[in-house]
Amino acid sequence: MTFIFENLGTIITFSAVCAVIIFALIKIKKDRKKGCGGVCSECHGGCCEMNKKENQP
Amino acid sequence: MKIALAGNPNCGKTLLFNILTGSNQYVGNWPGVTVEKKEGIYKKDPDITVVDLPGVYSLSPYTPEEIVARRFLTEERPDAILNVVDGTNLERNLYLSTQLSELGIPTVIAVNMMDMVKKAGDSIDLQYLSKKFGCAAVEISALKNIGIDLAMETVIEKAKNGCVIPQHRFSGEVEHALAHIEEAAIHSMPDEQQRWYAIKIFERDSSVIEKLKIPQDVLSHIEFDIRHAEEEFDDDAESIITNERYNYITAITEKCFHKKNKDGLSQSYKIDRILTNKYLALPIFALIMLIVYYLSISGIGGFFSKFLETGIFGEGFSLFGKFIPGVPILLEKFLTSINCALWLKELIIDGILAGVGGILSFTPQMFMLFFFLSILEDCGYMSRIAFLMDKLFRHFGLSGQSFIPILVGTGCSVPGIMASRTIKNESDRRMTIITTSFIPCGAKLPVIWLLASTFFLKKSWIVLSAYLVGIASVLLSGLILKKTKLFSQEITPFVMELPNYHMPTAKNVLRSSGERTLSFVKKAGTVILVSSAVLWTMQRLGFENGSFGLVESIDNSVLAKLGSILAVIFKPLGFGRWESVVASLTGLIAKENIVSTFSVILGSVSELPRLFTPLSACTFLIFNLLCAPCVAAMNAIRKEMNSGKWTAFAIFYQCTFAYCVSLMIYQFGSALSGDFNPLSLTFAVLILVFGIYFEFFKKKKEIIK
Repeated sequence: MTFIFENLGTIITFSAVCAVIIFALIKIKKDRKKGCGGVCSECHGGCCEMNKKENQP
Repeated sequence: MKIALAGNPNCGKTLLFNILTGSNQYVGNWPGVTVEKKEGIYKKDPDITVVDLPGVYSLSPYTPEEIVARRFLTEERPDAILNVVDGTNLERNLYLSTQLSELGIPTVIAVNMMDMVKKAGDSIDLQYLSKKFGCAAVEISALKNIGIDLAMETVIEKAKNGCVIPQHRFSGEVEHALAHIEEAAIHSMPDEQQRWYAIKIFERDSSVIEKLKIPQDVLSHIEFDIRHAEEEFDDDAESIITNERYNYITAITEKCFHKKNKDGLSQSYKIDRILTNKYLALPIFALIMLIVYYLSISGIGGFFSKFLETGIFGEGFSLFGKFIPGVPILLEKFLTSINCALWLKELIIDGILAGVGGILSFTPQMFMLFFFLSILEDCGYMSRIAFLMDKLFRHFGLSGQSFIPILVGTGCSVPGIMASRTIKNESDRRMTIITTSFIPCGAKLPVIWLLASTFFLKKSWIVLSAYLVGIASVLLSGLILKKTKLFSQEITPFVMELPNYHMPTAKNVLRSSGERTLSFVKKAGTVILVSSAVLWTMQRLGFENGSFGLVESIDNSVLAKLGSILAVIFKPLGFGRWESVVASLTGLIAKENIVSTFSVILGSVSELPRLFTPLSACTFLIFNLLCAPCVAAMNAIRKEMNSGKWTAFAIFYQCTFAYCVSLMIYQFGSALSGDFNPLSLTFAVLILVFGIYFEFFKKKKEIIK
């Protein structure tokens, strides 16, 4: 208990950092699913549409 | 209810689609931006779906875009078609309109760009047009948002009224044959659909004949009628229909299109006489780009970037005489006040914040660059560049068609690689996929700016040079690859429609540049953030004094050990330090990562001169510009190549090309300064000799053959 109180600042900050990283990872995964990795500023979903199997050349 | 937007390439369908649905599909002022149909919900009525079809000149089943549009219109049959027609090019645009009107689907012709037609003093008799095509015709300006509501109201009303019987008629002999076809083969079909199929059967469209499963005896009977018409016109069936259509359109446009100045040159033509002039075009282009880069990097963009770097993400800044500390200082104070552990403080400030802040500092420069490029795109200048480049590209075994994906690739390589889909020749398409990522994308810009501002005085020139290196690499690769059996096919001709010049609209420009910048910021908050945290952890953990844990010396870290293994390969290129190798590797996740990696590893990017000389910085930059792109772009290559072997070849070629070019530059540069390694220099000379032999002697052999 004493350990928790002494390191409360570290525990809260670490949890916040972990939460931010997990959120970023979820966002990356979600964007990857879209098809273009979410990095494509040009297509706004167009790439994802093009990536569909039936649309492959 | 489903309403399809159909029309020629670059007639403004996607812009209209964005207005109608409120979506943000990419709008480019050149043909071929939409290669796949897109759906959206009409803003003013959620029950209406608007479908943006790729721009096509006809409904023939020859190009992928035509196939997509034709399949949708004939098989899915929307409730109505809003046929977008470019009013400044009425005659050519109406060719597709004749085909659409044969489908039996309620159609409304929306004559777009009417603002430009009126500005030129011309006029279009919409009532006459409407009467001749048997459908309503309205005038709109998608760019200025004029007449769109009326067009939608009309098309919705037409859709509610149901199917229509096609009205326009060909000459006697053709109509005679069509009537026979309708009677013999498709009389059981709904009336409104018969004409389209009859014409396609007359044209001997194999996919339609196959789909309808017409018995052989009926086909023979039909063939007799078609041959009879062919003999009468002394032409083949497909050409007869094409001529008939053009005769019909010419007759209509002569009566409905009134040109004010019949012999005078249009405004766009006058501008093009200077901007696409044989001798002036390229110098003007270079000057425009230099001004764009100067304003983005050293001008307004540079000022705000410096403020972000030293003020917001640095020590701090003064505001009305009061000093405001930067985010790292404030964050450190806060973390100290809550008694946060030292290692966690370092992870947040020296790891995550340094990495993310290092990237975010470039946001103003990125925005300014995208802003200026959007203006050039929107006004119609960029499509002229593709036209100009065709001549240059042709000398190097490439076609101007390859320049559109490259142009798109300046924003992001992924859609650039995807845009290669419009290239019909397979060999040209593959070559374009391989070379598109040579042009610096938005993600590579921070890397270029960082090295340019750290090692060189003329920053704008270095950034411009990076683009020139990209174009030179594309051209050189064209020469190299065309010499191999894999790419030795003939170059296909490049036909492109140049849009008229117009004033760019603030809304379009701000939306386009804002979206691209937002995507850059988003990446800093996701990929860069996670990478920075992982990198910091890897550079603080390692084996020291026989045990694994936090290390005192960064050289003992896991990151340093991993980087050192590969560093030997890059030594001949002048950057054989583990830090630069790790930066190059993290660049494969996302190219901006190179900047954040330096921020994390070195503590500050101002420490870069510890790793590089100006020459090795130059080779490091060139290597990272030309080597394999980021994972997302590699994935796009795999999808577009549709082959693991071709993907492997593309990545192998890019890396080998980057290595050879960087090696030669570093070794010849070092030799000039008198400080060189004989073995590496010999290797560089051998590459150069082989390159010259491959280019010139192989060519001679082929000529002899």
